[in-house]
Parts: sequence; C-alpha cells; structure tokens
Amino acid sequence: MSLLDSISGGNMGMLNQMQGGANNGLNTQDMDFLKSFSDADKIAQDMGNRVADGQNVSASSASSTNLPRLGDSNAPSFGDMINGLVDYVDDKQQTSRDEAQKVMTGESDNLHQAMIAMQEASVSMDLLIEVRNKLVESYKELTSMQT
Amino acid sequence: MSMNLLPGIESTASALNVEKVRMNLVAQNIANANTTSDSDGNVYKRKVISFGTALDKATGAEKVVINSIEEDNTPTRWVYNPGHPDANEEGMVEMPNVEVSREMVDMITSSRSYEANLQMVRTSRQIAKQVLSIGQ
Repeated sequence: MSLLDSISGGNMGMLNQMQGGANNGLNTQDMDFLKSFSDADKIAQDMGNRVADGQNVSASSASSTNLPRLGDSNAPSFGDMINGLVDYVDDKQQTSRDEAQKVMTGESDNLHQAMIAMQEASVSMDLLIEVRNKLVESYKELTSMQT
Repeated sequence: MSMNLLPGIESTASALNVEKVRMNLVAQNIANANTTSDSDGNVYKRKVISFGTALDKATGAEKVVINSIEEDNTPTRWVYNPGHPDANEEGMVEMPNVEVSREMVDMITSSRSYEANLQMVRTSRQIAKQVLSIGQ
C-alpha cells in the first residue's frame, strides 16, 4: 500500500513539525487543537455506540466520559492514532479486495458482503482523507503565523 | 482496532444473508410444487425456515442467524390421476403441500425485507459521508 504509506509518512512529518512548532513556544492554542481533535473522536465514537444501543444521546453523557488528557504519559500519541487509522483503512481495503475476488472467482456468492466491504473501505478512506486535510489545514495555519 | 464507521452494518449484513437463504427456499418450494417423487421416492414437502439472534461479541450487535430449516408438516394433497407414474392402486397421487400463492407472499415478504436492509446500508453510508463532509 504505497499510497497509504505515503499519506501516513506525510502525516507523521506534518505532526512532528507541528509538535516542534508547539515546543518552540507556540504553545497552548495549537496543542488544544490536537487535544480537541482526539476528544471529538472519542465523543463521536461514544455517541455512535449509544445510538447503536438505542440509548438517548445527550451532551452531558458525552462529557462525562473519561477522556485521555495531553501530557498523560499513558494516553496514546496522536501519531499512534494516525498509524492505527491507516492500519484500519488498509485492513478494510484488504478485506474488500478479498471479498470482491471471492465473488469474481465464484468462491462465494455473497454479493452484498462484497459490496458492504467496499463501502466500508470507501468510507474509512474518506475519513483518513478528511483527517489528512485537517492536518494540512492546521499546518498551513501554523506556517502563515509569521505573516 | 475495532471501529464501526457504518452504524448497524453487522446486523444488516447478517439479515441480508438469511433473507437470501429464505429466498432460496421459496424458489426451491415453487420449483418443486409438482414433485411427487424426490430422491428417496417420497413426495416433496414444503421447506420452512426460522430465524434466531446471535450476539456478535466484537461489536455487541444482535445478528440474525438461521435457527432451523424444517419440513412443513401440513397434510399433502391427494389427487385422482390413475395415469400418473406415481399413482397408487386406487389411482391417487400424493402431491406436495406447496401452495404457490403462499410462496409468492413469502417471496414478496422476503424481497421487501431484503430491500429494507439494503436501504439501511445505503442510509448508514450516507450518514457517514455526510458526517465526513462537515469540514467542507
């Protein structure tokens, strides 16, 4: 997966630069962006679970979750998150390819499973691209700070 | 890393699976509506399917599974047809207990159920795409 590797590499480089910039004195606001990013993910995931369980979703229930804070040494780093996401997308694409191949070679006749696997791969790829876009956006924001 | 980008997709996929099996059975029943002698020499009996649920440990979703596929035990029809190869001494032939009209109803039910689950997939995907386009 050279495409995914290059995206991952790009993101990691960006991240290191952002972290370098933050350490050089551009501290609180930029790091808050990263923190809010990971928090938003957690909250969205939590709400997704609640919707799937048929429970009520309320703002207070989301804020009561135990979110990892920046500076907590046990919390996964943002780079780990991105790497995990890339692995996830790669995994989905592999599954989708396998399922499609099974249908085409006649090994399986479950068309819907192949289609669903393709949709999952497509949606997760979109998610990865959106994350990349946000990173590039914030990187540009940081580089234009001196002007 | 287990993540569920498309809500409810596990249950929906399993439902599509079992509806496909049900559709297969309906086709089998209609195809054999006039089968008087199967591989064992007996009259064809209508097949019925029953569904159950199974908990998917990874996602916590309740999936649909096939509980059993059994023979319908309602009485078969006896038809007077002395020329038939499977007729008995009195000239009666045992016909399957398949009623094509009922099979058609089952077929429509199954097909609508399949469509509903497909719509669920479509909507899940649409939701995910719309969420991802928030930033644009």
